Parts: sequence; C-alpha cells; structure tokens
Amino acid sequence: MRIDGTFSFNANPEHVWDVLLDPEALKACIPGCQSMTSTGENTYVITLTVGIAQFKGTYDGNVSIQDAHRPDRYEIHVDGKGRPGWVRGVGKIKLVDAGNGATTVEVEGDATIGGPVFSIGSRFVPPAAKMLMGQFFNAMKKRVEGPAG
Amino acid sequence: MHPAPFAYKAAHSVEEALQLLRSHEDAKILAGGHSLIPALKLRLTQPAVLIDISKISSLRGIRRENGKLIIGSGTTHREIEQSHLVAEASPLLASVAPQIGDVQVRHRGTFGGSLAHADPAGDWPAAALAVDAELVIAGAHGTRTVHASEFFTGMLTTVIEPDEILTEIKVPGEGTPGIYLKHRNAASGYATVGVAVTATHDHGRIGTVTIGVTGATPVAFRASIVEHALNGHAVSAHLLDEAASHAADGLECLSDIHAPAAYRSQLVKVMVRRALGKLLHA
Amino acid sequence: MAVASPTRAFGASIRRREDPRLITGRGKFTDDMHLANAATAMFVRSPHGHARIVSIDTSAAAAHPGVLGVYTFEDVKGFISGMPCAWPTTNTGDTLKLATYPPLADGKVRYFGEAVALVVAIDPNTAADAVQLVNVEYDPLPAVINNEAAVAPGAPLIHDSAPGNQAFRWSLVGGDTNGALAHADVRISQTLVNQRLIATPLETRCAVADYNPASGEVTVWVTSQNPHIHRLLIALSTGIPEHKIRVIAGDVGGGFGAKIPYYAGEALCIFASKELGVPVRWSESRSENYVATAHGRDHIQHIEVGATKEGKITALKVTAYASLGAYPSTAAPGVPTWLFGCIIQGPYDIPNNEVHVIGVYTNTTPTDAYRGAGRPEATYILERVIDLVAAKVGRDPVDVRRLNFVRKDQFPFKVANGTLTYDSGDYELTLGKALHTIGYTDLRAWQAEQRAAGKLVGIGVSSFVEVCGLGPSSAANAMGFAGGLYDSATIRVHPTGKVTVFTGVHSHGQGHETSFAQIVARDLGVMVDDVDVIHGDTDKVQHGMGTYGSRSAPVGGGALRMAGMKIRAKAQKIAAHLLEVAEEDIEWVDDAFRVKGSPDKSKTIPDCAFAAYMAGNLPAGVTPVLEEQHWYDPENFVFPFGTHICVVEVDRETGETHIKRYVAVDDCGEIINPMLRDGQVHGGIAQGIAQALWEEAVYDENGQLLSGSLMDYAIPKASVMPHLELGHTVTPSPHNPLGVKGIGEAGTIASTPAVVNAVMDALSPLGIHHIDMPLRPAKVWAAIDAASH
Ligand SMILES: Cc1cc2nc3c(=O)[nH]c(=O)nc-3n(C[C@H](O)[C@H](O)[C@H](O)COP(=O)(O)OP(=O)(O)OC[C@H]3O[C@@H](n4cnc5c(N)ncnc54)[C@H](O)[C@@H]3O)c2cc1C
Repeated sequence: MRIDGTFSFNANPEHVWDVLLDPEALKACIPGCQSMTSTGENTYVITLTVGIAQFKGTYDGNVSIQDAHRPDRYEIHVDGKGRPGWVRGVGKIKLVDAGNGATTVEVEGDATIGGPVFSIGSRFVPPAAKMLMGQFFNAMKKRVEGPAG
Repeated sequence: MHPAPFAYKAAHSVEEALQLLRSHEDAKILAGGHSLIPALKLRLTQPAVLIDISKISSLRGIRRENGKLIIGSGTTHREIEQSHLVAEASPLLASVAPQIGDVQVRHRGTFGGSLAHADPAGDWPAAALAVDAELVIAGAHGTRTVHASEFFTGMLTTVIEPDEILTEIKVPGEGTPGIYLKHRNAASGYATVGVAVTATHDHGRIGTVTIGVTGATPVAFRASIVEHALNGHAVSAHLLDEAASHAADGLECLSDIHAPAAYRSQLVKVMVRRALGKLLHA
Repeated sequence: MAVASPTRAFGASIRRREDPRLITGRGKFTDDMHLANAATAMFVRSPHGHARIVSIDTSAAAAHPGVLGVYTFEDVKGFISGMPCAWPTTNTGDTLKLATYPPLADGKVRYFGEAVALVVAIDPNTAADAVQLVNVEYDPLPAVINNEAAVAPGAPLIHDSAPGNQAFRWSLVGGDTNGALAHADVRISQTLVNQRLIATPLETRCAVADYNPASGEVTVWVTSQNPHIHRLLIALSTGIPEHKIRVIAGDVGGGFGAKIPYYAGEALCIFASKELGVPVRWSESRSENYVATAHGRDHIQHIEVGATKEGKITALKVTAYASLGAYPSTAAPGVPTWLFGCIIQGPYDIPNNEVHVIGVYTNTTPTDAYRGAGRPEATYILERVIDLVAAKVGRDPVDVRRLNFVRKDQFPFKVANGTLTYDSGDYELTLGKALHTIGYTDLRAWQAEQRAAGKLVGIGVSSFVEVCGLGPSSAANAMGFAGGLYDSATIRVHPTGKVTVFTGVHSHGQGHETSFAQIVARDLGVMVDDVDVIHGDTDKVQHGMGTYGSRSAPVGGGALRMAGMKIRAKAQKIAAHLLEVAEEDIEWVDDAFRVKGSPDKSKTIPDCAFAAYMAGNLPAGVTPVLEEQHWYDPENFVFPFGTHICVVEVDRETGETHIKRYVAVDDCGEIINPMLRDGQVHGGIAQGIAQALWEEAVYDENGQLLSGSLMDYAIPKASVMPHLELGHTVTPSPHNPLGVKGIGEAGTIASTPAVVNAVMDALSPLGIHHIDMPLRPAKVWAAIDAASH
C-alpha cells in the first residue's frame, strides 16, 4: 500500500529536521503514542493506540530511523503488531528547501498491512493511514512553527 | 463473533443518556446497532459501556415546524421511507430511504446513527449535505446546532464529542424536487458512489441546485463546482453535460478491490449528470 | 401437496416435505446439538500468508479463568499428524508431491487464516477472550499467490517436499493436436482466468464431538456431504476404530462441495473431547469460514485452438495452472485433473485435443470441489473458444456450435482422449428449443437496431455436456480416487406398510426426503407420505458415499430403484401365495399385484408386508420380514446436457451489466420432481451468473484475503437475479435404472459462459474480445474506456 503526502513547514530544513527527529517531538506527535523508549541510536520500541474514531487498536512495534542525511532525507522503518493486525513499512522522507525559510516535506510511504482488520475492513485502511499521517505532520507543523519550536 | 465484555445501560431520556455518558469512561451510544454491533462482534471496537438510546421516545418521530421537517435522530430508515410527510416535504430524503440496505436493516438502523457513524459509503451523509441539514447536538451545556457542511470532519468522524448526542435533524420542508442515485457495491449493498441532488427550475431556468456525494471519498462532500456552474442558468443538455463533467475535478477518490479511484470519479460524473437530467428534464 | 395416487408421485411437483421442519425452526443442524457440559473450541489463526513461527506463548490464555486447554501442533500431533488426501492422483510419471497438511501449523504458516492453536473454554465468550491472549511471534516470509508465479524460478518455496511448488503434472492426450494445429486454417491463442471462489453455504461449518472414555466410542456431529467418508477418514487419521465412530450429519445448510472435505476443525473437536472428557463444540463465524473452508476453481488456462475456415474445430490444446492452495485438501487433486480434463471437448466432436494440468501450491486457503468441480472450468474454455472461433471466421456462434456438435447418431460417443463414453444425447434438440424460446432470429435483428442506436447489447449462448452421477467404482479407482463410487439403499417396509428408506447419499438442500420418497412410492405403490427417508447417520445408514458430482438421483436413486425391485420381487411371491395363484398369473398393475384377468383380486405391498411380518403363512423358501438392500455400482457416468442463452445490456458509461433475458433448456433425462429440478437449476444459474459478474476471492501479494467477509465477497442477491425462463427436454440415460441424469450442477456449468459470452458480444463492436471474470462494472468500464481512446 502506498501512502504519499506533501507537507509544508514555515521553517528552514535544518530546523524542521531537528524537530522531526527529536524523540520528544516524535512521542508527542505520533498519533496515539503511549510509550516510546530508545533501544539504541535511532531505534525505539513503541506502543501505540491508534485507529479511526472508535476503531482503535493497540500495537507494539519497533521504529528505526535509517539512512539519515541531515537536512535532506531519511527513512523511517516501522514494524509492529497488535490484535487487529500487523504493519511493516518504510517511509522515505525528503526535506526540500522551498525558499523564504520554508520547507516542503515529501513523504513516500510503502506499507504492508495484514491481519483480521485488513481482511474484513480493507476499504478503511488506506484512508485511515493517510489520515494518521496527516495528523502526525500537522502536529509536527504546530511544533515547528509554534512557540515551542 | 463474540464481542469483548461490555456493560449495558438503557437510557430513558436524553438527560439520562448524557448523564450516563459523562459518568462512564469509554462509553458508546447504541442506537440501531447496525453499524456498532457488527464492529463489536468483530472486536474492531471494544468499548467498556454501551448506552442504549433506542428506548428514548423523544428521539423518535417526524414532524413539520415552521416549514422545516424535524426528524428525531432515533427515527429508523423505514419510518422515513414510509412517511407521507417526508414524501411531500423532502422528496430527496424519500428517495434515499428505500435504497438503504434491505428491509430488515431499515427497520433497525436510524437516521441519526447513520449520520453519527459517518461511514464513507453511507447514504444519508450525501442527502444531509444536499439539503443542508441542521444537526442538533445535545451536551452538558445544552444544545448546539451544526450545519451538515460542518458536521462531517473525516472518515467515520464528526463534530459530535464523546459526551454528546445527536438529537434531531432539521431539513427544509418545502418539497424541493430531489433524487438519490446509488451505485451499489455488489457485495455489501453500500454505495460505491451515491449522488443526492435537489434542483429547482422555473420556465427553463435553473434556480438552485445542490449536490451531495458519498462513497467517492473518505468523507461525503458537496459538489459545489457543479452547483455554481448551473445556478441561475438556462437549462440545456449541453450545460448539464459540461457542468457534470467537472464533478470529479480535484477529487482524491477512494480505491478498493471493487472500484479503483478512476472508476469512482467516472461514476461521480455520470451519476451527477443522470440525476440532473432526471430533475431538470434535459 | 399430497398426490392422489402413488403411481403419479414420480414426476409430480410435490412440495418439499422437509420444509415445514426447516422453516419453522424445527430442523436439527449441528450447531443445534446442545450437550450438557459441552465446551467451546476456537482457533487462533494466522494473520500472515506465509511466515515462520518463531514462538507460541499460550501461558496467558491457559491461565485465563474458564479456559480448559490450549493446544498447538506439538500437543495434537500424537492424535492426528496430518489431514489425509483421498484423491492422490497423477498420471504423467511425475510423482505427486503430496505435502503434509498438519491439523495445526507445524513450524510455519502457509496461508492467511491457517489454524495455529486451539483454545477450548467453558463457553464461546471465554474462548474468544482467550484466543486474544495467545501470543504468536512470526517471521514473515514472501508469499506467492499467482499460480504461474508459484512455479516460476525463484518463487518462495512453500513446502520443502514440493520443489518449485509443483504438486503434480497431469495430462490427457487424444489424437494429434500439434499436427492439427499446424494444418489449421485459423489459429487462436487465448489465456483465460477462472477465478477463485468461496462456496458460502448459509450454514458455516460446525462440529460437536462427544468422546466416551468408558466405551471408547465417539459421536461426532458434522456439517458433511458424506458422513461415511468422514467416518473412514477420521478412523484412518486418528486410529480410532471405525466401528467406534458415529458420524451424524443431520440437517446441513448447503455444501456446494466445500463440505466434502475432512478438516482439522472436526478432528480437533474429537481430540479435545477425548483430552478433556467433555463434549466439545465448534462453530465457524462467517469470516472464519472464508479462510478455513475450502475455496474453489482458481485456474489460469492457456488455450490454443485450430479450426477450419468454416469454424470446425480441429485441435484444442489446454495448459492449465491449477491451485491446490497451501495444502492438498481431501479431493483436491482430482478436481482440476479428471473432473476437468476428461470432458475437455464438451459436446463437440474435436478429434484432436490435449490437456495438461500443473497443480501448484500457493499461499492461499486450500481448494477443493466447488459446485460443478472441474466441469465449469472446461465448459468455460469451450464456450469462450466457440465464440472466439465464430468471431474469427465471421460466422454466427450458433452455427459454429452446430457445426461442431457430436451428432445424435454418434451415441454412445467415445471422446478423443478415450476416458469417457457419453451415454446419450441430442444437443441440437436443447439448442433448438432454447433458440426457439428466446426467438433468436428476431433477437439478432433487435440487436442490430439497438447497436445502430448506440446501445451495447449482447447475446450469449452456452451449450454444454457434463459428466456426473459419479460414478463407476472401477473408473473412480482408475482415476486414483481412494474409494468406490457406488451407493446404497435399504428399504424397510414396516408391518403396517409404512416405509423407511435408508440412503447412503446425503441431502444438504437437495430435497431427497421428497424426491427419494417419490421414487420409492412409485415402485411400492404406496403414498409418498408413507415413505420416510433417512440419511446422514452412520449408525443408522449402511455404508454410502454421500452427495457430490450430481450423484444423488443417478446413483443413490438408482440404488433405491434396485432395492425397490427386490421388495417387489419378494412381495410378488407372497402375493401369489396369498392369492393362491401361480406367480406367473399375477401382474403389477395400478399399485398392486393383481390376478391376470381378475384385477379385483389383488394384494398391495402393505398386504404382503403384514403377511411377511406375521410370517406364519409364507410360501416355501421366503424369509420373514419385508426389507431389502441394494448396492448399486453404475456401469457408466451419466451425461446431462443443455443450452443456455443470455441477453445483456452493458451500460457504456458505468460498465454495469443488466441481464435482460435468460433462457435455460436442460436435459437431465427422466424427471422425478420438476419443481426440485427447477430449484436446482435456479440456484445453479445464480451461482454461475455470480461467477461471471461478481464473485472473486481476492488476495493481496502478501497473501491477505481482501474479500474476507460478505462486505467484500459478492454472492448474488435475489434482488439482482433476472427472471429465468426454463425449458427442458427428456433424453433418458440408457443405463441408469431410473433413466435419470444429474441436475445439481448443470446450472452452474452452463450459465457462467452464457453471461460472459453475452457481455463480450455486447462489447464486440468496440473491438473487445475478452475480459477475465468477474465482469465487475469497474473492470468492464475500464475496458470500454481503454477501447475508446
Ligand atoms: C446488512 C447491512 C446493510 C447496510 N446497508 C446500508 C446501506 O446500504 N447504506 C447505508 O447508509 N447504511 C447501511 N447500513 C448501515 C445502517 O444504515 C446503520 O444502521 C447505520 O449506518 C447506523 O445506524 P444505527 O442506528 O444502526 O447506529 P449504531 O450502529 O447503533 O451506531 C453507529 C455509531 O453511531 C453512534 N451513534 C448512534 N446514534 C447516535 C446519536 N444519536 N448520537 C451520537 N452518536 C450516535 C454510535 O455510538 C456508533 O458509534 C447497513 C447495515 C447492515 C447491517
């Protein structure tokens, strides 16, 4: 399943990069993040309770940041499972200097999803994934552009 | 097909239901149960408490007040289908109701439940948008009224807060001609695309057209580009062709094993055109 | 409806005698068996299409209050280590690679939904809670879903024991196909996909097992089409002595082939009952049924045809890649081979034909027979081919059918590959009747007008012959089936003349309690309501092979007729004795033995029965009691045939297909009950139309079943069914005791190509000649859209 998106930030790439990869920011902005603990450089174990509306499930998984080239690009690898199903995916994230102190973040995600939830509710999954990605970057945007950033 | 354990409470008034909602963590309203119970049985959702509002008589019924049709959120699809008042006051709603599910489903499922659930393939959201319904929501601090255009916030999500209840829906009641066209998913019977249209015209000139579309995108929407292209213009087949051909402009349509995005956008265009043709006779 | 006279019972549209019970909730289905102290079994199922099992932690589930036991493969393998395959066939010298089918995953999961652990608890809710507590760690592996990709180099290996994922290669060759292809005026190559289907019986699979440790006996209620085969397979796979096993398949709510196989669910209920000392019940949810019960069809077929410029087909070569799914189910290897390949030339005289089948393993639910089993796959090829040839040579497809038909004077007709001899047929007759009913000539004129007006309207014809009434045991054995295909009947005439019939075939919707009573009523001269039919209980009924392959009426009914004749023969002796005349002086007229010349002097079967039970006044050498049994092993299969015609309109803008008319003319030989025949045809057509237009089991590339519920798997609704115009002709089977041929599968076999041919005919002005099924609106619209750019 492909999940792509483009998000613009009113800050320069370096600043956006620092916030996007800040564990505290990640923890605060990943939708439904219950806990996130570092297990090494750029690797975390994470517990999420996510979903859409009432259809939420708890997932345990590993997140790692790879191939990081500040401030241009990095990859985020996710591998998680929960009762409703499992997910594995890679997001390739590119930060493009949009001039005037602005940055465009381009996301190319490729996720594999499975389990009962997918088998009986596959129509909901891609829009839900997209919605969650939107929530994440909007939260990040607030952090990058807001007073805390 | 066995839900996770939950507690069940039946409310007998809106006040009691609100009280119950406030006093329980992780509570869910149960109306007709025809979306909620399947999800419970599949354990896709596991609320701790269900608050049954189907026994609240004030949430049920259809009446006309000051030219408006007022429909209780707990009114079933079947009651709407069989209401003479609805047939007269809102041909669009009368056209939607019999196209929902099957008779058994229509006897249990409710107007308000369907709107609150906001299924991307649900039928009522398209109609609510097209008639510019006003949705009355009760909460701890009284009621608030939200227009349909502001009600749906995303797939399966609305502005209703966890401690609120949708109580009634007000729609214009002057009998504006309207029609609902539905392309059914062969498996589920839900809308692959559903198009709800109202239109007025006088002596060959279009008055106002409203178009609500469901099924195509994660959340139902108003096809305002088409509406603008038509309102106030002289009716002609060419105008309708041209306007409808833009009905899917800029849409990011859903894609599933039954209908890829390109097919959904084709359906939106074709069905908008056909609905307009039926209402405007061109 | 009561029929005034027994003689008129046969051939009357008597209402189903089982219906008052079924429609008032008085049926007894497996899930209705509520035994005291019964525990509930549930399965933990794989969320992956292909994965290594790293670990299974059952501790939390086992500790959950109310849980009686949690088991994995290691726990159950001593009781049952693998599910047996009863049709281990191959014929090319390539050895069959029959992968082991473990009852619970053994180290690896090979399809989405494969059972990994068994949880048994005091009630369903507790079991469902505990299932969530079993923690399985998986290491996902790449999956393979496509049949051809599965045998391509480098494909993920599913079983170490089946290199290249190939289960078998199988071939039948008749004539010189390559030679004929080389000399053909026209040649066509086409690939057809016969998609994977899910049977979807109204009743999902269930089982209740009650093991009695004191006696060593076990009673198992199952949803089975063939309880004696289940008993045999339980005995063979678990070591429980066969005479200690009672299998009961009482009321069964539909099978469609998916209830032929013997599955782990049933076996493990026996295991758990033995282990825990209480009855154990299990009942599939619909979404569980969709992953755990056998799927059907799933072929990719490459076809080469050679024909003369008139459209006479001279050569047909088929190479089919057929999926067994992840494991070999009970009858699976036989379905895409013998049941498909033998009939590859259908009703046509195609002197040179070859069929090669590559059976493959893929990461999908195992497949098995599905209504029609093999014959729809063959018929679909032929009927598409006829239309493709007709288009190529520029002739009406009806003329091309006529040109190729086996003629009436060619019967008995031996097919080119030598496997089958068609018993009787008149293919022109059903075609002619169907054309007449639909008004073919006018219809083509109407089509021309519609086309001129820009409408996409099409007419699809499908002629077929099928092989059913499975079948002679010698043929079945020669085809590698590990069982005989005879069947049995016991007729017990009680002292009062009431009759109980025990049949070895099984009714799961067919209506045997009605049609079989009609057969016996005629032969015994008693009223239909005085005959009860018992089936589905191995402790009540003598051995029998169950119901599939449209065998109930030809084989089970044949056995009944023969047993009935034995009753008559014995009763005739008694009647002569009672009437004090020689046996030669009486005749069977108007439901009684009558003295020739003095018809008022008569004895009925009930009269004779009473005397047989009184037993003091019997002729010499005649034993007491009136009860007879017969084991009928047919000398040949039976070959029903027919022609279906479908008229459609395709919506150019939405790709939707609307069926405007549907005519079906079937010939199933003698007719026992026209209403039941029509019911079989109606249901069959509905399923066949659904394959053409809607149904499809869809997997993603990781082996996730995306059509995992009725929200996404489109079975036909009554509201979308067209009016069906049925007709029939009667060409009796010359060798069957009743002259009947089967009708259970005909509708499914004929209708799918009729609909597809109609849609392709509608689209032909756009230059579209083939679209693979199902012809969902989105797919058809995409083809129209592509053709108009
Ligand atoms: C077989 C089948 C076929 C169907 N086909 C169709 C179809 O073709 N088209 C279609 O549109 N729908 C269809 N439905 C859905 C049906 O219309 C549902 O009844 C409806 O969507 C939900 O209404 P309900 O009253 O059953 O709500 P419930 O299932 O009881 O509740 C749904 C959700 O809304 C919330 N809710 C309900 N009422 C309120 C309220 N007053 N205030 C706040 N929250 C509330 C609940 O908490 C829950 O989250 C089908 C359902 C089935 C089972």
